[in-house]
Amino acid sequence: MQQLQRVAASFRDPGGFVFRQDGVVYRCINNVYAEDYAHLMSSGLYAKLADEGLMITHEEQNDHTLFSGMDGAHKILKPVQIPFISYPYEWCFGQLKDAALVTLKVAKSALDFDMVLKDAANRNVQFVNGKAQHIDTLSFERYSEGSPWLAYRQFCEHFLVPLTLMSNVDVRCNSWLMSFPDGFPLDLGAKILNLRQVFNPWLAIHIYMHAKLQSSTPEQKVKSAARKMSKREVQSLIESLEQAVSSSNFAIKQSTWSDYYTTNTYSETATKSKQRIVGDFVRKCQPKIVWDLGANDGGYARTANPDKTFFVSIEQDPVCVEQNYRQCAKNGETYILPLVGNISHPSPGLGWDNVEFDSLISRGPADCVLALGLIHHLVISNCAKLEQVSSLFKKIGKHVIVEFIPNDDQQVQRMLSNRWLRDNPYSYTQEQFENIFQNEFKILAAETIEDSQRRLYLLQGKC
Amino acid sequence: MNTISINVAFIVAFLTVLSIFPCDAKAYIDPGTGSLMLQYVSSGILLGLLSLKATVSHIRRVFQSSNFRIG
Repeated sequence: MQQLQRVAASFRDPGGFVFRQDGVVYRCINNVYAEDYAHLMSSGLYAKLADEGLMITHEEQNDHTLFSGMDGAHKILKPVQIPFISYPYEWCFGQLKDAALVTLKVAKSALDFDMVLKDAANRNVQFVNGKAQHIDTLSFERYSEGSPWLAYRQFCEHFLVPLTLMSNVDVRCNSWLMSFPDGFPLDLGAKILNLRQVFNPWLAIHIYMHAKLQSSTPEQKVKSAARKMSKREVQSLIESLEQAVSSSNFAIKQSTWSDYYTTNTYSETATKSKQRIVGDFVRKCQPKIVWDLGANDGGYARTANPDKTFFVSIEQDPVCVEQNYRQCAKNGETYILPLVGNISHPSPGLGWDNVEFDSLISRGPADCVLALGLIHHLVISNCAKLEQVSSLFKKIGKHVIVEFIPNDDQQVQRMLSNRWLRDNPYSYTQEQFENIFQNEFKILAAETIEDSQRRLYLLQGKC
Repeated sequence: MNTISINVAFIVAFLTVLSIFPCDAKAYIDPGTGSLMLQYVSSGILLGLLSLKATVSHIRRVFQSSNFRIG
């Protein structure tokens, strides 16, 4: 048995922590949290949240070897294992909105069982089988009659402000959460937002008035105004936040990549051939998890995935990711996780010691990576050498399905014509491409797409 | 009707609360104090707004029900 590895992100809460042992994730509940945990389980709250799919389920472990060397451990839980941890700055609008609504439903249910959600951080939600679920078992404490909701500001900064910015300013504002992993500052949000939002009563209270009071409320004044709040008042606060979140919307409009599949250069024959070959290659490497880079609206997770393998569909255009997410919800496609991301600027390690939020690369390697219609973008737009592309792919995937696009391809020529270049950076021949990738990979299979000059390779990383 | 009545009620409450807190306070600021204060002063307003909204919706539903349709 390997030594336990404490998850670096799990250090703030004295009630417990998360650790890994032999590749399995566990949660330790400390003695200090024993009474709250007992109330969570015995009151019926856990059962209700689990039944409604709002919170991740767990099993209590009786294996005492897990407790060895853990002072103050009360219980060890084995939660449902999440195949891929994603972060709020990688979510599209719909994902952040669903995560916000789940958090509020959990907070409301907790009050019904005389508990309170004390931690409303967006990172406490993950997408499990296509659904947003609260994952932090330690986020609850017994409700104390008369007290306000202490996670109120946190909810506004983690959910309401970024959602309102994405809805009213630009959907790309979500990436700002990378700069503010502990929540988007209320005053900054209020400055950026247009004044017309004041006429939405919920936003005016929870963002504008809230921001104003943050900067103008001395502690003494709070003490003099302190009073007991009824449970109904706390419930109404949460309900008003639900109204505010529900009123934020994002209408899908055309973006750079949103109509790619209807405007690309593939014939119908080529499209079908490509889907068949990719599907065959995916099946050959029998992956548990596939990362589809530059996934657009996630089409290949549907058309080239005969075994419904779990796909993380990563795309830089948040409009395409939104389309993908809505389609997943509509069709009940629980095996697809759409995410906003760009492999040329992958999510970095963030937070304390740069390890609280894992970088995209450190969340790999995936069993299989799809790089379809991608390398010419990396070489021409990002000035990467093919050797660098090969090296990056080796880091992130055990197998890689890569599409070689010849130099005279219409898309390559279109990209080159829009740039001033002394030399063509994408002047690789098929032979050069194969030689470069064979330094780090073994070619398991290769097939030319029908009615096209493009060629697909199934590569396996060399040990 | 629903939205207008809520907005009017809200604007009155909003201006009242803003007038209580001057902009030039320079005291030490605890990041959580504003949130606590807002809950103390606005939770009653929020409860009122939600009740008003529910009442208006109820009245609207009653008048839209078949019993009140003319002809």
